[in-house]
Amino acid sequence: MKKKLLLAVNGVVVFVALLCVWQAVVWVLHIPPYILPPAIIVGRTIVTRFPELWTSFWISAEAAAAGLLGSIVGGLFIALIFARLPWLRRMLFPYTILLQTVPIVAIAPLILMWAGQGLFAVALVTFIICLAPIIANATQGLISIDTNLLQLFLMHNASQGQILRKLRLPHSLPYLFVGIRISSGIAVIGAITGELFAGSTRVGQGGLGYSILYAMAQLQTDYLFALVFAATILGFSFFFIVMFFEWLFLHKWHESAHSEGSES
Amino acid sequence: MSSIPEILFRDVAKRFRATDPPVLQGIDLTIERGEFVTILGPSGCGKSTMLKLVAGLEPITSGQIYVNGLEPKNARRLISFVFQEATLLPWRTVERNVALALELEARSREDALQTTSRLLELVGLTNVAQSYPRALSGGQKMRVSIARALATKPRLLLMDEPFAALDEINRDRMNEEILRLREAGNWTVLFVTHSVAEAIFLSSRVVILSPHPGRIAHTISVDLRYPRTTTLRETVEFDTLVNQASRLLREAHRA
Repeated sequence: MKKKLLLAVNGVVVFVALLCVWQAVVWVLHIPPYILPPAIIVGRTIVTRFPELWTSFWISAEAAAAGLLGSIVGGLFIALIFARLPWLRRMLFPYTILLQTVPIVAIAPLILMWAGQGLFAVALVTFIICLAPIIANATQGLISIDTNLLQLFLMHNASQGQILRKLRLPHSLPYLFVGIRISSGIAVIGAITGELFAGSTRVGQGGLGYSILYAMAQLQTDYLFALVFAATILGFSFFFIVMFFEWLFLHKWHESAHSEGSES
Repeated sequence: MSSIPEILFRDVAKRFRATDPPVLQGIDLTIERGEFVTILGPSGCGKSTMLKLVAGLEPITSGQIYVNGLEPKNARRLISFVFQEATLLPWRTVERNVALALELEARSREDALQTTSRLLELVGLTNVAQSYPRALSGGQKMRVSIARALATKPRLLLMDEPFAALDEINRDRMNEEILRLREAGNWTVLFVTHSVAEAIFLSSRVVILSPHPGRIAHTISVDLRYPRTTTLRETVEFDTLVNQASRLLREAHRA
């Protein structure tokens, strides 16, 4: 408990120190505010333009969440097929890696051209970059079953459905969460990238990506910083929400939850 | 006693691949109902493979195996298999691990819970019924594994070096426990081990395999009365049998 408090204090102190350095640099070097606005101005912008910022935050959050949830459902579905049909897995698995290596910035315009300009299109961009880690990890979890465990189920004449429900799916859960954790980080990147191309998804308002473009065009550097701050918070929130669910499902029985606890 | 043997091996051979040398060859063995037979041999002589064949988990290359007159695959509801590792499901509590086999065989939940709590009491694990396997010691895990195997009331128990990972004190204790449990259950056991003392202590008959390919080299009849307790280990008869078995095992290994 004391250790955790110390860690939190440490975090706050470093954060405040960084703000002070930032403020001092701007003062000492006389940097114009459209290049680097002082920390205090950024803080004030966050407060005064909070309603817009909050709206953009939620628009991006919606798109990222929709894309991530879609990729969890879709990725698990594909992983189930891969686990069931090894020949199909061997044939198609290399292409899931392709999904990951194609730069999203390059294909986002194409997707938006095909899928239109709305929330759906942005979520689709997110979905595509989140998919590969989920497929790879969930497939691994579904197929890396101990032979003895499988034979145990066979000895009791278990059906394929029982093997799936009572053995493969629970066994794949820790693996699936590794995939979701990776994807939760890139989901926010995907949504913002999508919005850079999609423009506004609502009349007169857009997500963080759209607002970043807008603020840049207007040389509102202070608001740009506020948006970066919001995007970071969004990324963190996704990560912590996933961590929470991982803890919720795994902490009772899985070794990873146990060892993380004893490490800190 | 029925005239049908519990397990019958008739000139059984096993190769894993057609091009590989056989793992087992010319195995003829008859095991009657109620016997406790141990297969003893060095690592890699095909002991475990014999069990997998009886369970129908591996196909036989040539010859026949009958379990109570049935093909191995059709006899599975008579059999429980205890693996070398405890093979528990880490996401299930001890209680629900024991209930697994009953669930798979679609017993009612009430029936399953009743059987489970009786078995946990039998193996002395009532106090950890709600724990997850992670929290258990090696010996406790193996007890759970045995309780799970007994849940379906098998008449034949196949045990593949179940106590190999335990220290000697725990192993001796588990040996006594398995004999105590058998008094109530009256199952036939086919047991695999590479420990001579364990084989003699448990069995009514010990079958010694020689390796490459696995063949039956010797059979020792262990005429020590059940119930056997730990004091048996200090008797001269026990020592003599262990020495005899060790000598035969060495010969079989050399040949």
